Amino acid sequence: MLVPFLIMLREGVEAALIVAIVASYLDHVGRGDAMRSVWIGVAAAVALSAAIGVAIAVSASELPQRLQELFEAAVGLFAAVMLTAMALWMGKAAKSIRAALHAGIEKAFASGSQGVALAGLAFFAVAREGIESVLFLMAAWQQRDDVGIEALFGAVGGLVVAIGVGIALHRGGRRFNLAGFFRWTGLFILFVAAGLLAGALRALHEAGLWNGLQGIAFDLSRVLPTDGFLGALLAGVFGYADAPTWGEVALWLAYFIPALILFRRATAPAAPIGKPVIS
Amino acid sequence: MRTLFSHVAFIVFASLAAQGAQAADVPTLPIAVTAQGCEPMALTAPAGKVTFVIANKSTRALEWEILQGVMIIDERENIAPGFKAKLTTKLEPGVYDITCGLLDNPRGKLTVTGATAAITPGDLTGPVAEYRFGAAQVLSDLETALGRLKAAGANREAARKAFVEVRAAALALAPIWAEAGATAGPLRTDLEDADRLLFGDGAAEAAPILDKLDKDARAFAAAVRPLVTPADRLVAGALALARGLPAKIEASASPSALSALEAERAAVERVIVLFNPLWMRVNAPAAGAASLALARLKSELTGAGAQTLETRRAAATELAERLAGLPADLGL
Repeated sequence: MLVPFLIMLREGVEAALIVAIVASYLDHVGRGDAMRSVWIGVAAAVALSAAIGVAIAVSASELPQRLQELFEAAVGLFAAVMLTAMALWMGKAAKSIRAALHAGIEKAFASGSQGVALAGLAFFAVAREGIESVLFLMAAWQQRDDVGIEALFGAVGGLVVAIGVGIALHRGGRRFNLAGFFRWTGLFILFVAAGLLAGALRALHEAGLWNGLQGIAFDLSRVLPTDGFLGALLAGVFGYADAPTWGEVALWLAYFIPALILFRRATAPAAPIGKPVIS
Repeated sequence: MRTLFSHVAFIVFASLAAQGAQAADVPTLPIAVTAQGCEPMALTAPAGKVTFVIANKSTRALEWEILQGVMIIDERENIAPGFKAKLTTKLEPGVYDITCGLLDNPRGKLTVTGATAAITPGDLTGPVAEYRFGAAQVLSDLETALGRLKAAGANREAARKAFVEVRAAALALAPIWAEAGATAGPLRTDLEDADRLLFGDGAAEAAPILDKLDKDARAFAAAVRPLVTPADRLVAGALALARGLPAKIEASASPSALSALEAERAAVERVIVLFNPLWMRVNAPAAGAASLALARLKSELTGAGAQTLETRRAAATELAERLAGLPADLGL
């Protein structure tokens, strides 16, 4: 029961996190109205996942693994690019907040195409985890005689808690004032994006396309396993892997260090990263 | 974006439908993963599509992978304890690693045996075309021999020699006699009559028998010339011919009877040789054994040694047995 809960928690948090970031961002830039298309994207992704999951279960076939990993890698890359752009933009906004205030933000948002891109991001993020989640739930239902119905309850519970984590992140984001939100969320998002990139590389490996630097950098699978509670949560939020390869570590660093420098340059010197300003 | 969704959905559904249609005859291999490793640690699977049923008997979430070096050939993720997951994948022959749970658990071995590349319809067009080309040459040999038989006239020795050539050419196409329709039956009767005439008591009058043979053989040639015999019927014809050989081997084998048998054996070989490269690819031992059986029967029928009825029949029976698996191996 515990492992199904944690597996679904991890998958669910991965999706809920992105939706929460998008929602918080839209709140803070005064484009709450764009949330409508984000929710449509989420609903479409849930419906598509359910349809594919049911079709697979009914036809007694399997998810084409390589196609799915490729999809996962593509969505991970897309999300990392979008999130990086958002983070850097937030950094700039945080610096110029006193001068520009909301007018500048809304100007930056005026094109409207960003709203569509964010709705698309929410759609793909949910679809990516949704298909796997539906398949897992179907397996838990089909194998209930062998593994007990608790496994299904655990899995559903994991998803519910994941949605709760998403809501909590969104609420937590709201507690910041604008400058504080942008600065801290921006930094947080860079961590998330770095994890997404490393995860995309892993997905490319699992799709059979990337086979370099496959030595294990460190093995924490007995200390902080991804099928433990903290590990699952970290995996869901930051893309934590308990035994990453050198390639994943290298890509993580190769992204994170320059991104952090860019971000600090965007926020500094007017507002160096310091204490969060809580309104 | 909506069109992109429908494309993704279409690709997924199409590949699912394809999987569903093929699911029936795929071999299934169970494997369990415990806290210590795989059960069994070594698996053997035939090449092609295989379904693994992976049972997680450990207490940890399981990711099960088939690896070639560091490359992941296929995998299943998120198998919770107590759960089973299916993995259907297509494998080339070779030795693979399989992961067995925790990173520091020993890896298992997966040995994939047998041939990969199944025979495709395209592979069979070559032998079919070659056979047709060969048949055209045989038919021109047949006409030459018929001319020689006519020219022999009353010269019995020359007529015998020419007749054996006619018969050899006609029998060389025995695997496709069934395809030649109504012309094959009269030809067979004529060949038997002429054999009795030239090698037997010689009481009958020669001219009507040989004239009829000439007429029927030419009709047969005209019927066979345009034929394109598909691979399945070509192989079936050769196998039927081979199966009939043991019964035709008689105790008092005259040189003429032996040369007729050898002509039929050569006709079988003519077909088998064309399919041999394909057969070698999918089932080399069987293809090799069939070639040996063909050679053995040849030496039984043409050799100068101490062949007996028994050794000849045994060689003919062995050939029929060795060839029996050919249609299945070629997927006919």
